[in-house]
Amino acid sequence: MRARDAILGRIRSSLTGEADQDAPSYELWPQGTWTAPTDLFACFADELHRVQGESKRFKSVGDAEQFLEKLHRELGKPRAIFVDHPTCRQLVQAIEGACFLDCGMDRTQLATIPLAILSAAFLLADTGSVVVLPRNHAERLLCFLPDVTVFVARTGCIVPHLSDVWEEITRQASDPSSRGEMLLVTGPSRTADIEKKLVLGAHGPRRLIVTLIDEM
Amino acid sequence: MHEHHSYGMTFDVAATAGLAEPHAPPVVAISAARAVHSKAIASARIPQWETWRETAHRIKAWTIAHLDRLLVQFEQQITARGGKVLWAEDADQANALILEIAKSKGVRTVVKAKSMATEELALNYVLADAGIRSMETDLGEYIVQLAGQRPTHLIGPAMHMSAGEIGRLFADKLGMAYTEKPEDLIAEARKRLRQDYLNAEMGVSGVNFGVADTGTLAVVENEGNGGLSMAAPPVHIAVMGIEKLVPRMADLPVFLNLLARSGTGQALSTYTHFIQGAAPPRELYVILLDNGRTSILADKGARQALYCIRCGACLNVCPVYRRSGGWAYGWVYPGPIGAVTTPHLVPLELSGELPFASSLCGACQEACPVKIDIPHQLLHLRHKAVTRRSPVRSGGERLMWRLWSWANRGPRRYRLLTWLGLRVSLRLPWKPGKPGQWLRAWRRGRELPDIPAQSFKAWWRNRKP
Repeated sequence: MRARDAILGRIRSSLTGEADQDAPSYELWPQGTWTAPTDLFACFADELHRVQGESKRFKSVGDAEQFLEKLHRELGKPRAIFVDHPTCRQLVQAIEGACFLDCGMDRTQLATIPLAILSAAFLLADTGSVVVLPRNHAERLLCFLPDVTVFVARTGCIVPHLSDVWEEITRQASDPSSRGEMLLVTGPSRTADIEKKLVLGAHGPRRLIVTLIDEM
Repeated sequence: MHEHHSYGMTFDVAATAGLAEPHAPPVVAISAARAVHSKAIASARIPQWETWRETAHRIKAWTIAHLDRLLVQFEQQITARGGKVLWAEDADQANALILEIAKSKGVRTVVKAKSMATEELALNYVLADAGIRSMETDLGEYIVQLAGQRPTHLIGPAMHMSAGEIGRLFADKLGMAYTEKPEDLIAEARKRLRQDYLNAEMGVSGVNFGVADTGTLAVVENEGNGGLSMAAPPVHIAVMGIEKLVPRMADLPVFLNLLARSGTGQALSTYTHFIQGAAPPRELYVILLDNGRTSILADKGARQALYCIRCGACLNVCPVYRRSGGWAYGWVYPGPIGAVTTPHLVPLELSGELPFASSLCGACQEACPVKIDIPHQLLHLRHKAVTRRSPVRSGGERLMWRLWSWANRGPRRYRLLTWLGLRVSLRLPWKPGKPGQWLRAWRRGRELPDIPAQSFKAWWRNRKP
């Protein structure tokens, strides 16, 4: 407590006598500075591609299943895990031997899974970002540990930009019972620490694939 | 202050050390130029970029003017979410807190995400002395840790090293076959650090923004090492400078945009984490670090230095930084922001030369996403450096300027001194243009003209019409 009181005391003595003002108010996206794209998916796909992510759009769950089955085969049929979420639940039979995430799995067990299928809460068209709201610690770790992450969402979950989901993120952040982490993922893990040359898969997933389904 | 943490080297000595690094200046300059280019593209996509800079400046000004109230609010919100807030007046107190936590949990390995605040603490050395293995996980930080060096840039810690040098370093220290291929070097680092994420008992990170009204810790990064360092071990310690607050969750988007676009030229960083307390059995500690920041606050003319969001944009555009590299600045914070921050955080007697490491061209202010008036901050500190005890307050120089000031107060005095100066100079045993050894350091890059036989006024009077 001594350090706390000393620091706050020094701050207060420096600020004594300064006029109190209201916090600044401003508009993040003033009118006329930005217009929502007419084709949200095209905009999202372009931006995701710009950050080396991949996007796939399917009309139905069946089409998405075929894609996942093919991807799994191309990757050499690695061990795969699905997050137990309504969007992922419909796809689990696409991958042979895949199972749902057991939230009791520890980091060592999770690190043995090369392919994870996760649920995206929202997608941001102007940055190609995925908004992830992990419900437990294992889900949080699955965003970073596998080599390949596939995020699944309804195509209707794409919003023009961050401001459109900020209210929801703020609502969750304001709730003291919400613990853990919310995450924006914009492309696969990367580094440019060696001569500013971009290399993917620094520590997290080397590939990030967003699978969008129109009718779900 | 830990003995391994060399700080307050004079700019000149440190600059010489930096320049001796064979590839440093060209590699730094090339990488900085690339970063400037990426930032220009990323900011051009935002029509209201200038409005955002102005807005961020106003928010930071308001935050600093209400810092006591916001810190208390932030502490309450973190505590309500199961986190523990600890306060540290200086590096020693912060290190003692971290060691105490580590010892109580039986920690043997720590994984560390990139954090400038922990650089201030020289935390790796402190942990090593206590028998705890501390691994930097950001690739650039990992490289400089392996090389036994200090970071040279806020965003690109190993910016001074070429791929070849890193290849030789990895071959020497890790025993891998020499390669210059970044993909192979990174794969090796990934493989080794993956094991540390799985074994470490504690993770340490910095904080980019602490949100006062929700207790949210916003941390941005690109590699995934931050996510793994914060989430994989059961204990997470976040070290945060007390100035890193923003008042409301609503203020975050403008800062997230400005930071990513200015720092790395991205629309958003690859990973933007919003940490919300901790659910048992996991533990979260937030250490609020002063370490000289309240001294900056007490000096009204210097306060804007507290607005910094550590994007590194001012470094990339600075002609002095590009030539000298990061080590030249002698302490944790290089470049223009280092020149205005360090003299407050380490004694002026040791760092007083830093504000002079600038041409005052103003490029740093133009690049700064929160519009810190760095040139005026430098002038403010230059004034301090020459009026207080510092390396630039030399007795000889003060005497010389006093004489100059006296001579310029009247034409007769001026004529007398010029006449005297000419006579003395012409009779010196050496020519002023070649003043021998004692002015050698000063004359590096400067050339003195030969002393003419007569003054300009005498020449003017005698010239033929």
